[in-house]
Amino acid sequence: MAKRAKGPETRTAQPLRTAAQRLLFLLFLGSAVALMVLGRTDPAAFERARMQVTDVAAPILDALARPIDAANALVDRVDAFANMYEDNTRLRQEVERLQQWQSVARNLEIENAQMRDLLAFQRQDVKRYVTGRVIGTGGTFVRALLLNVGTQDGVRKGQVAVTGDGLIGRVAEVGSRSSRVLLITDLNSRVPVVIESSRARAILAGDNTAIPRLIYGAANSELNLGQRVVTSGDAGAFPPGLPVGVISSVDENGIRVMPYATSERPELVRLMDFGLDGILVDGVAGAAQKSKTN
Amino acid sequence: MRTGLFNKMDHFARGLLPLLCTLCVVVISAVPTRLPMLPLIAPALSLIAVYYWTIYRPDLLNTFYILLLGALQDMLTGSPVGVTSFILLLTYLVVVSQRRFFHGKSFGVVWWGFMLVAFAAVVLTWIIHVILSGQFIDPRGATFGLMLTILLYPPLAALLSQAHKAVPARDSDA
Repeated sequence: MAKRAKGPETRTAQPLRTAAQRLLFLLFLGSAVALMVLGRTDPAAFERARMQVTDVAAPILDALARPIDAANALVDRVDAFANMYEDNTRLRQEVERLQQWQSVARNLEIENAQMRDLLAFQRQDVKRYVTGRVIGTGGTFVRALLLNVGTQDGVRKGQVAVTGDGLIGRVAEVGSRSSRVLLITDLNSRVPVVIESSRARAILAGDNTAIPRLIYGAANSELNLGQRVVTSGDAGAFPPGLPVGVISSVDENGIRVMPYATSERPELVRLMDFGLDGILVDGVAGAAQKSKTN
Repeated sequence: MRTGLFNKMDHFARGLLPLLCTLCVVVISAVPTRLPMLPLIAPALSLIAVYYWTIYRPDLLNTFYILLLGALQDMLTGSPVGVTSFILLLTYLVVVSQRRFFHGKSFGVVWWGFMLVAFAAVVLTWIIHVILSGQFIDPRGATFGLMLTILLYPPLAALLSQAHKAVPARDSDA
């Protein structure tokens, strides 16, 4: 604030000169450290405060994100136009290939239906979808997305976040009109997965890079590049069988998985409620059931 | 300096500009931008704003504001609350002690000073995050973020200097 000095050459405007200013500075610096320590020891208290602040900021961020999305869409369009010829050729080939797959899928579908009848199989269906727009991202050390949907839209903690390509994360914090999705690439993300072909189980651990690591895998399981990795459904946090990615490197530095959803900043994210509370049980959740289904 | 009510209000509002600029920068840095090649990188825009105002008008962006702005940024981005406040306050401390050196110096010198400050800030942020998370973090993301932050200093500082012109002059130095 405009704390103006009276004389032309007074020193009052010079900061950190007086003992009181220094004391205040130390107090503030100490508060910052205290916040860090508290956040580590009592994350729940901070979570609520954080989502309240985020709720207030959500409309502003939403408004700011829109022109950026529009600009991105324009760039994509120009890009698509430039690549039309190649895309066309590629798509024709793909259609041919997929038509063959279609007939295979039809056969399997019939076979599946028959077997399901035999087993009296109960499908674990998605209870509802909520689609949210991305209005914020994390920082350099946080891989997260802020969405413009919250409890009033039916978002609950623990819901699974996907894009058209595959799993991207799950809802870690939820406010009344905003929510934060922790991406599978974040340091704190652990997803129980299974290698589709070998059924070997492991944990997909994010480490802030674009390609998360596979850890705690069975030692003798055979791992090859290009193997599909899907969620295993262990621990009840994720439903089984969601596509996650493919194994992209196997060496002494560890096994890495390239996620199908490579874009870390999608515009729209779909949250799926499988009714799984998993490890993220939240007392407040489920209060607002006014769902924005899709 | 006249005493009319309007003048006073105008003066007061202009004095808030550094705070408002920094607030804008904090909010903008949380908005998702999709740079095609740089999906993992978030430049530390708030560092630029704090550096700039600490050199030219530390009286208008005081330490309490910095504490709050840092906490706000942490809350918006979902990082551990207090880390950015801590870094920005230390930046303030370092820059305020050296600010007389920067006065009247060319833009290149100020930018060079910013490089040193940004480097120290990013390294310290990285160390704090490694300690808080208890695991090693690939420093590449932070390195690219640092480079982007340094590159973004000139354009952002140019914008801030426009706002600076509207800020009422201080009676003493500056």
